[in-house]
Amino acid sequence: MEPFNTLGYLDPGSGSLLLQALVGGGAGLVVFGKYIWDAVRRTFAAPSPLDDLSR
Amino acid sequence: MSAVVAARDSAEFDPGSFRDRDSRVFRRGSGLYRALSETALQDWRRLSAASFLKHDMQTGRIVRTRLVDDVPPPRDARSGEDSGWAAVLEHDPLPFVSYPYEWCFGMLRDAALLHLDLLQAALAEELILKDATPFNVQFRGVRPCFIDLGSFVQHHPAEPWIGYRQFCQTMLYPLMLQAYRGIDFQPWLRGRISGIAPGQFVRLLSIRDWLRRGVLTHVVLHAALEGRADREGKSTRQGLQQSGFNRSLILANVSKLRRTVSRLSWQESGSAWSEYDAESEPVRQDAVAKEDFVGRVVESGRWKLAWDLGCNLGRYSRIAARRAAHVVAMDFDHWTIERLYRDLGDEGQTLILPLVVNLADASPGLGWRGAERRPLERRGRPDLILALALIHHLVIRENLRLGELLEWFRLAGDRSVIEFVDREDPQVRSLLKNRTDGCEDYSRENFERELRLRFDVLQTLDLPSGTRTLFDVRPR
Repeated sequence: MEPFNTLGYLDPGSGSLLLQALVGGGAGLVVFGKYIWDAVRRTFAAPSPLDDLSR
Repeated sequence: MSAVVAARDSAEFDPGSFRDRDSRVFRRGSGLYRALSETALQDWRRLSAASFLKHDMQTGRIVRTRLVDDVPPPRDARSGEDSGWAAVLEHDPLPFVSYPYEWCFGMLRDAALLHLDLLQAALAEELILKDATPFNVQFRGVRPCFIDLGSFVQHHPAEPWIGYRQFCQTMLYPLMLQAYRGIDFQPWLRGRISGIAPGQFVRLLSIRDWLRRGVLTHVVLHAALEGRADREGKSTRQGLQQSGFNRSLILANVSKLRRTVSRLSWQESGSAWSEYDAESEPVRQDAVAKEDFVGRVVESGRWKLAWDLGCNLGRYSRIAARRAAHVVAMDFDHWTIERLYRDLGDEGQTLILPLVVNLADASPGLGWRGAERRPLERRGRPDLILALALIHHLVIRENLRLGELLEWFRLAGDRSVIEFVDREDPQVRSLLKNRTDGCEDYSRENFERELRLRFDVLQTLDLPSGTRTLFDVRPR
């Protein structure tokens, strides 16, 4: 999935983006949790041989 | 030569408008325009169809703007090439440009609330503001007006609010600094155009402040997350989109921010200067004669721009506003200007712009090449200056040289009313009591000699207190 990059010149700050999920109430916490879960999963995922092929 | 070519030749880009690659402000004569890229033109068309735009332009919350087709943008200064702009917008010109580091607390708060209101309205129309700086707001009198139409862009539902950090750094934190700590925010905004970073601001707060509204999330958590997320080194934006981020989260955040900002308040117990009019005996004695003299000068002409320097609570600014198209009322005391801003708002007075300015340390050129934000003197020449009960403060307290100060007045405006306060006046005696050098150059004789070297004196008036004289002067 390509990120939607409509807004060019301002650096939004990664932490500021993440915080927007946290302050968005219950629905935001779900988004934040999913984001963290994906990050953890990526960290511990075994590298696939396909990764080397794609390089 | 056609009118269009002549227009192209005299146009130049505003030195403060360069960061946004899709939109750039330029001037031609007294006209104010904005060149748009093809992308920005598409966004303008979306904005034009939005229901809130027409209403907010009519009420003055957004600068009146229209598409024009006979004003070409400037060409590249070196190559002479057209820069490929797709369209041009024309804005109604502003009477006087001011900057957030010259505003009082109430002005910055009203600018922040306007920004959040427009952001909410834009999100409802699938638009968003792509930045969040108070420089996008100007004041007509005491009414905030949003000027950066290029900031409205199409919003994809999964895109977070890119301007959130900028909003915190340049509006929310300065307001919290004033409301929660009682520290003037202006030097912080003047010191760094990008505002106060979360990691810096959190250190200015006490643990007790963490319990105040909005601090734990927008400051403490913000600062903590900023450090951690930046270390991950991957696209947080993409990750959030994949995790289901959507527009309702921005709306929830903006709604809470609005509540937080609208509840921020600042109350000073009273400064020496805001009580000046009420307490000083010579001031009371002289008030009627002084108002009459200033009134006569004001009534003698029509003024495009008047400056009331050391305006205090705006007594003479209001007189100037009878015949001036716009009055800029300046005083170095923040609380005095805050009170004036509130009073003018209550009165519905729209011709007077109150600003926090210390003439001995007035706003310089700032930002890229020192030209992004212009010095005070380069934002419009006043044709009338009022300097009442001011110069003794500048000479004795700020140590300015009398001759150099009068030279500044000579260059700054076309006509001035200057009050000289004698050394025998209680105010001057009070200022001099701890001076060991006596500040001997501050004398009536010296003042008149320096004044007549530079000005034609049109009329004078010795005030009833016996220690003060008004001079109505025109530069030679």
